Amino acid sequence: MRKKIYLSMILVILASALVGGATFALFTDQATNSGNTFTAGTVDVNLGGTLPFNVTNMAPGDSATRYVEIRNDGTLDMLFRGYVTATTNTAVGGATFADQLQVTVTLHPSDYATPPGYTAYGPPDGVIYSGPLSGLIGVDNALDNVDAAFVDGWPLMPGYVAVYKMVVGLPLETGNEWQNAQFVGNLVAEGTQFAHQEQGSVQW
Amino acid sequence: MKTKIYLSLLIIALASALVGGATFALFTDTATNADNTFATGTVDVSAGDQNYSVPIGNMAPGDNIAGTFTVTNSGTLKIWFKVTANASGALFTASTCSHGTGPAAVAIDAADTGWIALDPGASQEINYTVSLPLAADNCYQGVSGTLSFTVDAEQWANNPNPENS
Repeated sequence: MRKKIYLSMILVILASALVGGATFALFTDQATNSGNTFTAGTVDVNLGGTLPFNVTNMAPGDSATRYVEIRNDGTLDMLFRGYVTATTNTAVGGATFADQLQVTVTLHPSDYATPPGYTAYGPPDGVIYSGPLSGLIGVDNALDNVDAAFVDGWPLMPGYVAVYKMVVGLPLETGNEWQNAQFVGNLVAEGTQFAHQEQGSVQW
Repeated sequence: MKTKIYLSLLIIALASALVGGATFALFTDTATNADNTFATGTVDVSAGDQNYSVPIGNMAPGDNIAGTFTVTNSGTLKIWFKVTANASGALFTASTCSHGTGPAAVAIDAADTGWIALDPGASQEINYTVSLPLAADNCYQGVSGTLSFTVDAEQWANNPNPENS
């Protein structure tokens, strides 16, 4: 009698195995969507134009013109700012040579050919600064496109170039104390992504 | 059970901190154009020593003594310059004699008068004559005078009318 019971148990186990095996024979299918790619964009700002801006042996009444390009060579919309840092700036009687040099900055000058492959940024021939060179020194005095980007919808898009015409002059009334004066400085352009920024607290 | 909720809140807070930190990792780039230079030049004029054709003491009526000196542009800018003679003393003063002819006079050559342009590093010789008229009165005997020259210089650039500046 015991044998019979064992046999029954074996049958049950076998039957269970059959049932279990059948579950592996269900119709199935699978579809794959491949090639989904996540790529980080780039912020790549470059300076171009007729630089460096060197003018030596100036006399009162002299002026010189150069063109500065700020290019977006990255893939992301960009906020940018440009400013001057001084390394040499002759001082006489509490003033500096950069206080004497007068600068006019014009965005998108129509007398300058946009470099091939780029689109010029901004409306043509807009004077955005007129004053002493000292007023462009330091990051706090930077010219930027933050308001233009947030208010007017004009970030510097990829493939765009912001061209600035810079006219630097020494007024005719500049005094003798400024003979043999010198200013040496760097022109700095900084770019940062436009996306996920706040107008009042841009991260540079 | 309360402990578990607090732990969840802590984990959420940590996750928020991570997200907050991420906003400082925005993509940026910088480009610099270095050593742009602006420099002024100098206006610097110098006058050399006087040279005379004959010794200048012991003049007699009728003498014409030729003198020269050199003006040099020692600055870096092109200049205008003008020479002015400053004669003083009894020999050059009309009131020295109450009558007769005199006194001695200085005349700068016409080519060396007025405003003259001069390049940096260049020099120009100034020629002049000191004359005591042949008819000079006896009262000019034994008197003397002093002669000097002033050279005024101004930048040439942006300065078409130097006399008016």
